[in-house]
Amino acid sequence: MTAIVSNRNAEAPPLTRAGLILPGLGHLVVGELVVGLGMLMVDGLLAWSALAGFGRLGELLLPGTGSSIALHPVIALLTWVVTAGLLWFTAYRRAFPRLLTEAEFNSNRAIFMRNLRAHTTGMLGMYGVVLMLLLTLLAPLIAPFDPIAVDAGPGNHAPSWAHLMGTDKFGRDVFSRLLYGGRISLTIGFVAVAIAATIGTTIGAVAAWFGGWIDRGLMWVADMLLALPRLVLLLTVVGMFRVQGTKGIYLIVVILGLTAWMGIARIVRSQVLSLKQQEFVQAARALGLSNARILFKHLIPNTMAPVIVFCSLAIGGTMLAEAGLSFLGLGVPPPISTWGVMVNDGRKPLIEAPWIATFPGLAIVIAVMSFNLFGDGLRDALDPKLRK
Amino acid sequence: MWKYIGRRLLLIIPLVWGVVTLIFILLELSPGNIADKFFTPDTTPEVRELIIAKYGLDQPAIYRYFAMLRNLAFFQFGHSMAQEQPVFQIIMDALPNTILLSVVTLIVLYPTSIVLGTIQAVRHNSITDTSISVVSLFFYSMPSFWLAMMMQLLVAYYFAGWIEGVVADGGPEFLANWFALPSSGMIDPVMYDYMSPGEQLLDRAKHLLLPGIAMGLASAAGTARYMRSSLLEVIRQDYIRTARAKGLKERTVIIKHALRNAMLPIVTIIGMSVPYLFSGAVLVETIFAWPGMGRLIVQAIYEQDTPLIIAAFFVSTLLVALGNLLADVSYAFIDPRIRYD
Repeated sequence: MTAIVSNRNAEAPPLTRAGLILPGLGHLVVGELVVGLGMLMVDGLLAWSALAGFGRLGELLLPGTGSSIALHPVIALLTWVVTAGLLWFTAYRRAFPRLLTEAEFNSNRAIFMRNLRAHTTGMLGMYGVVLMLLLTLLAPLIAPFDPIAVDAGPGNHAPSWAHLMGTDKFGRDVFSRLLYGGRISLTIGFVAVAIAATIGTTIGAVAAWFGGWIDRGLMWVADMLLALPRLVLLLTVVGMFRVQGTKGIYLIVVILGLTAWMGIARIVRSQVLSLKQQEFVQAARALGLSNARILFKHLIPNTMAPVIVFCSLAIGGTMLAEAGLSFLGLGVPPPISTWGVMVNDGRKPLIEAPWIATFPGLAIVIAVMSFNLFGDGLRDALDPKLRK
Repeated sequence: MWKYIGRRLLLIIPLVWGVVTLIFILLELSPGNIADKFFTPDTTPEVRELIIAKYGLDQPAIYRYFAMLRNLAFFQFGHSMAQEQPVFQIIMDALPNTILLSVVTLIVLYPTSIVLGTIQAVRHNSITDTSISVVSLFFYSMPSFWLAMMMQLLVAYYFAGWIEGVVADGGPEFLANWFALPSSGMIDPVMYDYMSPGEQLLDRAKHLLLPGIAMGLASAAGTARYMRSSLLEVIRQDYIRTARAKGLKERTVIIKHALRNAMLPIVTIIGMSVPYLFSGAVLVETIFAWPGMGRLIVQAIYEQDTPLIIAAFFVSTLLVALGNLLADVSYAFIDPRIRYD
């Protein structure tokens, strides 16, 4: 038998039902400022993309017409629907909370979620990340111009209502380019860190589990790569294997992933070294399980918490590395533009048209800062020493 | 102690060997080499062979690999293929400039960040703490090349232009001499030779300031964050409570008792920051036309100048290893409990 205890807000104040009209309002009126404002911000973004984009949906969805590059309006529509659903679901849960059993209330996951929700800066970072992702995913609906159309406006035009962030020397709209460029920048960050996490976890676990010369050898490789300036190594590889076209992106992503796994490997290694001594591992061994099974089913899942924290911090670093590479002209090849490429585009006309370099740079700062804040929040929420 | 240093110095050898081998393999796998740029469609096969032989590229890779190792062991870097100069000479021209840039980080930015981190920890959760946190996170998340460009725009263009306007309207002359910072280069290209030694020093310092800040600010902001959390951890410990209970002044408790222990992880982080500074140098030197190692490496990569690339990696790895060693050795000076036997 399980005792039924209340969730933090089993008897939600009636005011929270305001959220059913406008998600976020309910949180706001009962004093949950960060969550409320964050949700309202997302509401605004959805309303904006609906106003700006739904009118020309037909034009966007028809193949062959409209823009000259693939715009993925289907993904944008799907994102819109899913986000709206999630928003209203959150508002509904706040107004009519589900009752939790005591076991559920005290589960690690529930504690983690409560800690994270109480972490103001971490939540700010999370909303920053969500905002960046939505902005780039909804780009086809929001972007007022085709990002690679050279005649969107007069060249080197200062920011105005028609061109929120001005235009570059070809008359391309900087704001539209920013939205589409963000997709590539963020995707590169996520995929590269996913590669790094996979490699790092495997190498760290294998090194700790087998020990001996395998451990020494793998850690020697990690130390060697840590001693190399990352950007210089990236430059060497990308500069030597000039790969043209879209394949260039794959090369960059893979290389970024291959140069970021060392920190993760060290974390996983130290975790596995201490887990190795515990009874459940000995039991697994006594049962005659294979090395691979013990590693992947019993050890690695237990090391995931710090890895997730490290990854959310590493995405920022990876985006900075990609931006640096693109800035030196060795990044993603045209016509695709990441934020780093856009800053580079703005270097020559820095004095006449400072907006071309300023806004993409600010976008990088905001994105990286959001990931760092969110990572800090995750770390604190997962830290058993700080549990409430 | 000396035995420890000797052992650590010996450990540098496999590290450098690994790096050089990795880079050699990468260069061998990559398509094309420096000889390609002398070829035109009309080049006859005989001339082709001559050019390839001139750069020693006709020998098998394994032979060139061992020749390279032998030469590097005696610090013989060979001849640059693109610049027709001894590699040693090229690096000796560039390296001091990069070290000069990192000096700004080491003696200005890092100490400042340590002080700021200390203030944050002492005034934990105050407005000062929060605002320094936000500012340092902002700079920590900033791409160094964008910071460099924004400083060129805001400081070296708008602000310097404004200062010069003030001086032109009859403001004091020294304002322009001191505060109008140049946007690139190492020295004033025209006037430098006509300056007195004191003015030359000032000119160099003015040129150094912006790139130096651009290179190290992100890393220093990170150091401030680490300093804060490290000191916060130390302050919670029992011996600090004891020191306070003895009736020591808060200032003495922090500076004499807490800071020493809190500095230990910071020293490691600063020692490990050498590769980050190098990466920053690549971008910042490119923007500020600063003739240092970063620009040298970029140029060598563009020109596929194999000996120069390998020598640059060799030197940077040595510096990284020495930075780590220096950090570990200075541990012993900060914390007398640590002994290396």
